[in-house]
Amino acid sequence: MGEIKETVKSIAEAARQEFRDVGAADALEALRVRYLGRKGVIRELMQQLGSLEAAERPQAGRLINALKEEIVALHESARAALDRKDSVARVQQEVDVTLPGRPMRMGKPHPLTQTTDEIVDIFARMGFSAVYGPEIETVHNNFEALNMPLDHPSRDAFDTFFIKGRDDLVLRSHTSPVQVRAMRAARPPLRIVVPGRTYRPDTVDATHSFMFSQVEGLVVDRDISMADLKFCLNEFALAYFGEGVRTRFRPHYFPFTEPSAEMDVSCIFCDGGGCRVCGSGWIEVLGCGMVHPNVFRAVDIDCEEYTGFAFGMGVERLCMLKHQIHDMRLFFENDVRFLSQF
Amino acid sequence: MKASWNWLTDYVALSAPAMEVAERLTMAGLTVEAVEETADDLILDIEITSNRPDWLSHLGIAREAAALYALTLKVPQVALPEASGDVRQEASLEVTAPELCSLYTGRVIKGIKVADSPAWLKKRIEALGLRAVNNVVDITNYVMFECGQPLHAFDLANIADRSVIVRRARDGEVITLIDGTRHTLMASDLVIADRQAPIALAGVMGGLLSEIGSDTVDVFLESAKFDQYSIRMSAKRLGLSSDASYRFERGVDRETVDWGSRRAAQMILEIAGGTMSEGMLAVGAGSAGHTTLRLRQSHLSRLLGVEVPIEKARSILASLGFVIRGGSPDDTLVEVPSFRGDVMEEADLVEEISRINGYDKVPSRTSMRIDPGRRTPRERLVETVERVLTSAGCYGSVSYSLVSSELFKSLSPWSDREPVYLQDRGGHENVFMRPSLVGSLLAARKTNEDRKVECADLYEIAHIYLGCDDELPDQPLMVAAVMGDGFPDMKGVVERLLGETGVRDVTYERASLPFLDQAKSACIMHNGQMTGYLGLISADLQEKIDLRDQVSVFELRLAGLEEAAHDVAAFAPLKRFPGVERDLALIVPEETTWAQILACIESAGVGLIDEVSFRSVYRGEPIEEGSKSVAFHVVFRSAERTLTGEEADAEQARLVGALREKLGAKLR
Ligand SMILES: [Zn+2]
Repeated sequence: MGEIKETVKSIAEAARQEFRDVGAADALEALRVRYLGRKGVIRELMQQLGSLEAAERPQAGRLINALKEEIVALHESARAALDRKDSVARVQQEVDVTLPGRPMRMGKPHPLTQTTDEIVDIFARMGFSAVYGPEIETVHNNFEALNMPLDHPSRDAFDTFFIKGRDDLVLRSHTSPVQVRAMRAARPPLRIVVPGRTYRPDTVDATHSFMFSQVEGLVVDRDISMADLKFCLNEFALAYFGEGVRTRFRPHYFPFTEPSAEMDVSCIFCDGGGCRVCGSGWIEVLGCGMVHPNVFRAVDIDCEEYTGFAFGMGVERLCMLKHQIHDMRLFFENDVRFLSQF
Repeated sequence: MKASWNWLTDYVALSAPAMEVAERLTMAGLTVEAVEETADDLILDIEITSNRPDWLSHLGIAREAAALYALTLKVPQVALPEASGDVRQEASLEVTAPELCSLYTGRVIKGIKVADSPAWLKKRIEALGLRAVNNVVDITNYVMFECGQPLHAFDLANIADRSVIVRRARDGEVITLIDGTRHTLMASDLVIADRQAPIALAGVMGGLLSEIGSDTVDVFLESAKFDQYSIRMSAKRLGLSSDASYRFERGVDRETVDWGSRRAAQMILEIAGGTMSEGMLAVGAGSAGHTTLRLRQSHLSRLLGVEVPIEKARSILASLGFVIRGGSPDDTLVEVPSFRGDVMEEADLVEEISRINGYDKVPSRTSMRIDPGRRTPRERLVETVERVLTSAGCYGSVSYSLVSSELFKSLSPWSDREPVYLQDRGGHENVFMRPSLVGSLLAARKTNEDRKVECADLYEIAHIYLGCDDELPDQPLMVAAVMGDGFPDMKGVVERLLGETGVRDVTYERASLPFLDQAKSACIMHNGQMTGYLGLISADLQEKIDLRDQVSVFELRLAGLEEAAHDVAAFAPLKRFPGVERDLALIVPEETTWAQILACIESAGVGLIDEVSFRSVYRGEPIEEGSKSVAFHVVFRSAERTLTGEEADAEQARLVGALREKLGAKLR
């Protein structure tokens, strides 16, 4: 009996030492097998019970069971310690996925360029091709060919930049002269959009600038009607402002179209209910109309054979509406904190 | 134009609520911008387009409302009482500038009593935001806002010799107007004068001396049609604008000149008393005849894309004052009333019909044929350039094409000529069109720097403007950028940009542009022409614009590159056999350029060279002063088989031999 007591004691001491020193999961498993396995130390001790006197067996059994429980406990705590160690090591290797990535250097086109591109793209899907023209333009193309004779109010020197020393040249006050150039360059059918810069001597403030961008459109063919105009511009409004938007066409006056109209869209902020931006629930978006016969006459297109429609819109205005930009001057400051937002 | 609701309903029995009428008017082209409620009236603020002077009156707006609601327009009847004495005994009239005044009429009313207007008249005048003056002046204003014809009443006692002369002003002639301002006139201005001096600036404002005052007894009442353009130019030049000039500039109705005169005379007699002299002084025709236009139902339908019955079209036109002179549906003759000078052809009739019928009746549908739009070479080029530059970290900028800083002139190598200047005007003096984009980019960089926005790398794609005597100045499309990087990085961007566009045969030469760092700048040459430049800005320029960083810039002419760009890449077969790679370092004189080394390799005729790529330049020990070591990488390769080391050795020996012979290069 004393012998087994000694054995249990020395096994317990050795086990305590070994489980404390174990440094890796596979070594721990080997220890477990050695002590607690099917052919392990505890099982071996149990088998020795049979060789003891019957009276000594219960006490020896209790001693061995106590040893087993201690070793199980030792194993548990050793495993817990190892797990803790592993997880620290693991965390040290893992990246903090919530840290920001290294910033990628990439710029963006100017918001006005993006807006122009979007407008042109919408019309391109309806078959319009982009055409460009000079910004320093002849007085004739800017005015006369567009049915704006000399005594027309907008012909006033106060509304147009003239080139010094050249009374025949102006900074184009709209993109419409490119219509004239396009109709001279190619016979109908024509289906074009004209993006570009335009100039009028306005004083710069939040909603005015002496330089601004327009997109002009022109369709000329046999039997083009106002219904075609409404169709194309409705499609544009849906594509640019969103599928829920409604449009209305109000009569207006432009010298180069007859009949003429302005297109309003239902306010994208209040859905037409009326708000601070729109007032009435409608937002004026563009001017349009059927090409005036005098414009056809100026470029020798037979206005009995052909009809057409034209439209023009301000890019700044459309961009400001969409992105809720309140001051037009921001476009021309080129502050990267502004440019990077769009 | 402000319109009083109460006043409008004098002429048309509107039963619909004012807000609904406002909406209908807006959708017919008279944009009602606001409806203001006063104590017992509603004031409509209506935006009138410049082609419709007839709408600058309550009768004109009422006519429109009557047409929209199919109601009758009630035009006041004018009946003048018995007159006494011949007007020609009271005053004389002479028009010496009929080209600026196609119709002038004058009536004389004697023995009036100037006083405050009756309450109803005051109220009408004040409702429109005007100040009531006295009964005579208020009546002329009232009639103008009623029918659109401006009238002017002179104190006959202050017209010297009672002679009214309509003439051009004499250069330097001076007039003091009712508002107290003094103006120096020129021959393009039209004046109403007596035998001594001008008594009114025609169509714009009356003179102070002949104004109606409390002691006025006899009145000369003017009603006329002045030349639109001349009135506008005078008013603009002198910085004057009046309700009268606003109407004359847009054109008054010749046939309303007399109606307005009689209407005002009647009211003066009723309100201010007095007796009217028999007849009227007049120079010019009271009517110029009426235009008759042909309306075709087929054209109407064709232009609108919807059938409008001819009966409907005719009744709309009739309700607007047009006279239908009969004819078949495709040959309806329409007589245009004189107050509709804007209606000159069939398309104008179509608009009138469509406006009143409602633009909403035009369907939104199309039978336009399929027309595949084509992307133009310019679009493709610009898109590629933007893709490369944004990938390089640059933001697109848009700067004003109009500049005034002298600095811009020194930043353009594109023309020696003076830039294109604009005509001076208030607020825009010494403004010219920029001859280069780089100045704007540097200014934008500076703006960002001042606002503590670090490293603002920017580009712009826009036109520049170069002086020239041709019909139009040269206005080529350019791209330019400013970046914080040094020369090699900027050149890498330019090379990639040109590479992506497919523009070939580009070479780089030393640049000597004054605004660039002489040691770190280059010209971009294409087909023997300088098509661009790149480099660091000079220290001088950096200091002048007070930039913190010595930034680099490039500017490239895109105009002309559209044709040179090959945007369809031809496939090159992938290499099948491994090559033999060698790293070589040559010691060459300092002046030897990489381009010379490449040219030498090319001309050496070593057939198995597949790739040559630059690695580095080294100066210093043990290489002697005046020389440098240029390291590069060569791949020898055959398209048919794997090369052996010996074959490569032989090729390399030939290569090195050629370099030694032509450039004096030694293998390091
Ligand atoms: Zn709204």
